Amino acid sequence: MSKVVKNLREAIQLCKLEDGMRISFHHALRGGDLVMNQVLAELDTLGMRDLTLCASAIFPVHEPLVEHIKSGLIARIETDYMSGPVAAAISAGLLQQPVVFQSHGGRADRMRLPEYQVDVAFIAASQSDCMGNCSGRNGKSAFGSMGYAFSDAAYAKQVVVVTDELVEYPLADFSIDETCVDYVVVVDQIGDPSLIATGTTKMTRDPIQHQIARTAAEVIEASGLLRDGFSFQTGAGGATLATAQYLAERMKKAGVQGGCCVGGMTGYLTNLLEQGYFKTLLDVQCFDLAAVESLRNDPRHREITATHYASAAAKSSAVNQLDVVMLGATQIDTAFNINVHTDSTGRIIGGSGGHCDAAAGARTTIILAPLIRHRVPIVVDKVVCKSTPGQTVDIVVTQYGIAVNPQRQELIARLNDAGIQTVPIDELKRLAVRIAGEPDPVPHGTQIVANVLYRDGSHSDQIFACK
Amino acid sequence: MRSLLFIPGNSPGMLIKSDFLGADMVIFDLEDAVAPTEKDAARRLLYHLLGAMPPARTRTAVRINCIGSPYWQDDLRLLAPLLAGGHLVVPKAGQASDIHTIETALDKICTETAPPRLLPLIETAAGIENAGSIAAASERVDALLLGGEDLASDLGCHRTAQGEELRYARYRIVNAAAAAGVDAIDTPFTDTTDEAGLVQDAAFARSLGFNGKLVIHPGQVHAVNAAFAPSSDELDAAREIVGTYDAAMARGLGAVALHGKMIDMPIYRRAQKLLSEVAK
Amino acid sequence: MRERSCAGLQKNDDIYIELARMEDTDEIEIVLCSKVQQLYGRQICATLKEALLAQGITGVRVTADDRGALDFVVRARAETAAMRMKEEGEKDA
Repeated sequence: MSKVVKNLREAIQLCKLEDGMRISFHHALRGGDLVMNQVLAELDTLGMRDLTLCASAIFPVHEPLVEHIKSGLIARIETDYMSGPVAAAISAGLLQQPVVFQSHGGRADRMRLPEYQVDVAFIAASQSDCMGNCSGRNGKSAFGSMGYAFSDAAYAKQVVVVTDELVEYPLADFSIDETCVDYVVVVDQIGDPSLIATGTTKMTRDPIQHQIARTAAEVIEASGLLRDGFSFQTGAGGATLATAQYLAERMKKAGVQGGCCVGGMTGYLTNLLEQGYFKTLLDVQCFDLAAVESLRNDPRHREITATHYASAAAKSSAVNQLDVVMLGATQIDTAFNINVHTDSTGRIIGGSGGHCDAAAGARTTIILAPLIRHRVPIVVDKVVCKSTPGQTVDIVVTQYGIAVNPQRQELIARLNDAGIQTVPIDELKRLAVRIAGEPDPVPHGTQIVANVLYRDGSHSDQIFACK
Repeated sequence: MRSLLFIPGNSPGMLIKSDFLGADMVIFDLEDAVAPTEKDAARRLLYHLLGAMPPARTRTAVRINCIGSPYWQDDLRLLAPLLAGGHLVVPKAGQASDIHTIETALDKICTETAPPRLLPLIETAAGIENAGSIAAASERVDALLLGGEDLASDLGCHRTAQGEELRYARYRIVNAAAAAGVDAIDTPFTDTTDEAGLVQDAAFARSLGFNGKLVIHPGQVHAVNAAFAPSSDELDAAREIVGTYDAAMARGLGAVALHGKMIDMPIYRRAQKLLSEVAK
Repeated sequence: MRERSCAGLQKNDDIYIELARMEDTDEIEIVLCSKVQQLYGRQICATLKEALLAQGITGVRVTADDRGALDFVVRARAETAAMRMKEEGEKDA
């Protein structure tokens, strides 16, 4: 027996995919993903309409989606992150139904609920056998961790594995196993792994970001978090990734060995593992090819599911073990609420990903951001979109100063004892305005283009169309 | 001053970052980093930077164009009044009269504000030979800066990572600066990719008696700061020397010994200076 | 007076400004393209106008490409462009 079918069209037809159904994709190939575009093109050829797209993230490579929205193929989108032309089209009000933004943990939890069950999950895999035992670790298009795809595989009514490397049964080193797979499709190419590391996952060269990263490392040490076995997560962009490097210098000096790093992995983190700074990596997605290689070769580098990573509904998840997480922001307000969905004018440029999950789980959440970015103040009175609630944010590090959430008086005292000055966040906001000038209010349209859900599924905020 | 970081004078992006790079001093550069056609623009930009948001955490200097160029007087006229409490880097300082020329010009311009202090940049063979008189030319001189690149070309030799060709100049600068009671600041290490070379070069400069180093890339600041920061052992020793000496003086003792060695005035002063620098 | 002048660079945190003399008018006409148009476009135009007037420049079309320049940068670039426009005129005379 074999589950291999002729092509995507046959798989779609065998799944009896119909108008109005829910389809899903995972984003491990990030900017190099070709599977979503291929499947949507096929669905379009078949004349499908009114589908709900449940994609864990949408990147610039998914530009064809704009046309599929226009044609009516895709009528609703549920995702954790969105950038590029699709985000621009949504902000312009192209899609009638508001996009549903979830967190990585929130998405995995939501998929288990019957009313949100996915009808057909299309799962890109760089290797699969004929029965659907598959993984992202090996093959010409290896992308590493399949973290986000596990929930799709587990909860969708039907599962189609899409691969560009069919191997002999059984693929012993599988991630997702055959028990939940209906069909296997072999295509020429699932994607271009060299485009995984695009945009926000590269080490910054901006000296201000490095300065902020140095300060953050100092803050972490002064907070007393640098103890044997401590666990941490860094976001991928800007200063957060650089912090890992400065943290390692301090760990070496203090003779501390960390426990584990959680979340998205890069070569910088796998280096720290190899050099013994940490004992374990829990990897929900690989941000570059060095991480892919490490996941393949180093048993201390473990693939975890999005549920294991960040679920709020599971009996426990890895974010709850975090001592510290370092995250970015496009806006921070004086109530410590964080925006990672839009820019300062309300245009969609990203999404939560695991931002609010990690902030909620970690003992200490540190936000790293410049006070001003090309004249635009980052610290403001009120964020355009509340992606992560202020109650879950502890420290904001900018080049102009460090602000600590007043809920955390003991942290303020600890930092002050260590000789680190903190400032009220209102002071940072005033400073930003003094330097950049008070920005004019930006009017928005009346159409709601996205609803932002918190990780537990509750409503967090809404995003309006841009004028 | 351990690190003195050059910032190109016509780059708004770098200018607004300069206060946050960890340097002890930033030197806004109007000379080599600015093309002749952009001198006016850079001058104007610095004028408004110093007026609107002068560095709050870092000491500030401006490197003007050299005497004899068509620019230096305009540089001074526009910017010197905004540099009270700041410094002026005087490029290609070759003799004491260069310092006097700047001083005279400043006195005419800065009628209502304190004139900036002076940092002669020694980067010619003549400058090296006259280092002593340049350092002593004015009480406004706070340090001698060594510029190895221009000097090497004046000498007709190549700059190397090891810097053997600068040995004489370095000794000479340190000696002249010490004789005049001012700081000595070493030449930049120009290979921004060679971190180990930078650390070695800075350590060598410090061992000769330099107090700090010019820096041409933000990524070099922290290594230079670390190289010129006194170690905790040195600080402990300095504290012990000052404590012992002060106690002995309070008891009216003339000669003071510590661990079997005499503490004389120069040793005491050096320890005091070290502690006061750290306090800053 | 020159017919045209420019100042600034098309780089982040900077603003590139071109001035072109217009016939038979004392107006300052501004065509601004800015990365921060909605937030600061109005203020950038106000600063440009104010700085040019202070330099005695009128009857020009200003074309500006702003990449997030702070107000002091806008002012400095406007003044530089204005002075460049005037400077050449003096030399010509």
